[in-house]
Amino acid sequence: MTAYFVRRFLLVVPTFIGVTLIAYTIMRYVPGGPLDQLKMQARAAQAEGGASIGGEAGAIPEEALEAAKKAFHLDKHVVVAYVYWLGDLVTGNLGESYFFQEPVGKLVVERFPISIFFGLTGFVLAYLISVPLGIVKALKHGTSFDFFSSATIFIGYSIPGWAIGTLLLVFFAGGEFYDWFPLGGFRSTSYFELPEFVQSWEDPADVEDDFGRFRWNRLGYLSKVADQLWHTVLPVFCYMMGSFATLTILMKNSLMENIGQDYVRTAFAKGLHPRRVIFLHVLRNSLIPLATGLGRALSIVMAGSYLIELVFNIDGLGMLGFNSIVRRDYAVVMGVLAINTMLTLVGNILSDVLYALIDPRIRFQ
Amino acid sequence: MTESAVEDQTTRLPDQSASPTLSVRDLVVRFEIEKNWVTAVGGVSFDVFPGEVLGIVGESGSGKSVTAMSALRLIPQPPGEIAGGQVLYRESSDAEPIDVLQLPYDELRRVRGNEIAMIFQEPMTALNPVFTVGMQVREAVLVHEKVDRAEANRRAAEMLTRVGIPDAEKRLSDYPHQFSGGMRQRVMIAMALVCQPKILVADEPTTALDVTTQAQILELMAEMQGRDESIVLITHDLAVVAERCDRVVVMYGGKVQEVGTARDLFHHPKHPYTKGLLASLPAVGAKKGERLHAIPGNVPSITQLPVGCKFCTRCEEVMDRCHTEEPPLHVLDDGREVRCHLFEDEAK
Repeated sequence: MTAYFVRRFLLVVPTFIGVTLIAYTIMRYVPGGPLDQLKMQARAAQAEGGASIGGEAGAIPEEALEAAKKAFHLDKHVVVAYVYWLGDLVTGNLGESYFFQEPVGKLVVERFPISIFFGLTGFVLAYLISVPLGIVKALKHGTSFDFFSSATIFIGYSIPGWAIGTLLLVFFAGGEFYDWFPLGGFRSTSYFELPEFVQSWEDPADVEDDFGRFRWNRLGYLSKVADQLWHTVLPVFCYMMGSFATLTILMKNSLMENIGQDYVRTAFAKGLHPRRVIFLHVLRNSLIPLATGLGRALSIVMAGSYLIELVFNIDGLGMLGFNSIVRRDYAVVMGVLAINTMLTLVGNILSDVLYALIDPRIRFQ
Repeated sequence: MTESAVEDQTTRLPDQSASPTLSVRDLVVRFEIEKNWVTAVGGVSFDVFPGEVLGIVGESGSGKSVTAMSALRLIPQPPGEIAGGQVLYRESSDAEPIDVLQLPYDELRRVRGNEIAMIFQEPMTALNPVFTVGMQVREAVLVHEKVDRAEANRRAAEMLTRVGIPDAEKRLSDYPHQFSGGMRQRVMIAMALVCQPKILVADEPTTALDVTTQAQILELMAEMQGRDESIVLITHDLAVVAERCDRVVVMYGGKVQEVGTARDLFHHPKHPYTKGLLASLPAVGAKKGERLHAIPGNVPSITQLPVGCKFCTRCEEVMDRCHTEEPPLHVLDDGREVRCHLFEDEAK
């Protein structure tokens, strides 16, 4: 079995190269890259100051173009350029953001905790609710509770998370209906953004630094928790919705399938208490398909969601990735993609490891 | 083979003076299939005496497994329902019988595994795949007896050794898939017998095994049987019945058709169905090319059982009244019971 996992890890390398090479190539040939942007800037500058300079329309100095080409390896064949990028990556250098003028590594590290916070909260909550709900639904199969919960779940399932997010914002974030939650963000960025009840706990002067700027860290412990929760409810709800239906129905079906198995009859025939039969014998078997999903969720948990982060204006990895694609910020796009790919590949292997750990019948060859 | 097997075996006749350990009385079990109630077992009665091996024979769909499972109320409800009857269990011959069907659930649990234990047809699926064999046998001890884990483990190991699992102590930590089919059935037997139940109900215990393993498992069951312990062996294999059973209950269409000692039944079958079953066995020394006898027709679906005698659609000695009037279970002078109009006079 060790040999199997060693092989799986070795296979990560070519898969990773394949994924990133394709992305790199696409990125390079999509219009709107750094050269186009340089030209556009020049054209805009010319339009503004057109009268004074006059003449050559939208021209930029040849040297500047050459320098940019060189900086982005655009003067080389795409594969050669890719190898440069890969070489940097191996040495731990993700490059520098064209937009932020900062190392990509730094940008990513700053945003990781934010994405993990939302991802992990949503993920844990989804399991905490789906597993018991699935069990109850299986035990009450065919009742009206089962029917109505299924209907609700599937309505939720058929609407994408970011669409639910938009709806929630309209209804609960100060639109025309209720003003219960903030419009977005990870935490409040000024005293007046804080929920009113938290404002009443804090003196504005206490949470400002010497320059009169709001410092979240100076809030009291309870205020921090309240403010964080207040910002968390809506986005986490959207994160959950995605996996919620799948998990619940998987749990229910898995449990029902196992309840009909012969070993359950054996357990009852031994005289075991039904609680022990269901919650030990049946549940342990039913959790196998769910547990294997844990590894696959790794990339979602850690790398955030492009669209949900965008809707809620959460400055996490997802939003960074999305905005960088729009900006054609090559280094950042490739950096975020590399991390995502790595997490997905490792997550898949992790799933297999988990599978082998919980199901004694599984032996990988 | 069946004939000679009966010949060689000294049939133990039950001590009929002792009270039966288990008496099934007028058991009726129904299933709801697509909004219709179908009777799978239509008023079955039989006794299990201490120390005997009682065979219940019948084709698929005759209701034999359902009868056995009902004795421990293991019928899935819904769709099943035990609609009537009694299952009377006596702890000892002078004890008051208790009706298993009326027991409160917690007392029923004390009977299950402790007084009446069961093993099933499919050893491959009857054990939980994700728990070790040791845990599953140990669990059976712990649920009925106040012993600690170490003691339960010791008992499990001892039991596995007794059922012939080599290196039992080490194998406690193995999972079911690491055992062969025959070994798994041994584990099942160990699990069933670890609390020394009075009755072992074995529902086709050898059907899924290959022939040599079958013989070993049957031999093991016989070895493990204590003096006052009874075995109810459910099977469709007449050779198994001839070799292993003291008395036999023949079932067809959810009813008992004939009851007698294995010896009587094989030498002098009375019911046309029993005769048909025996005639359809290949005899040792039969000429090559000779056709086997077969009971004409198929087992009727339990949704379309005939009104009269359940066997009338296939009986070779059928009379007009068989189609409309179901015969009672006639008790003959020698204690045999036959559900057939042909024996009406003999019974009187």
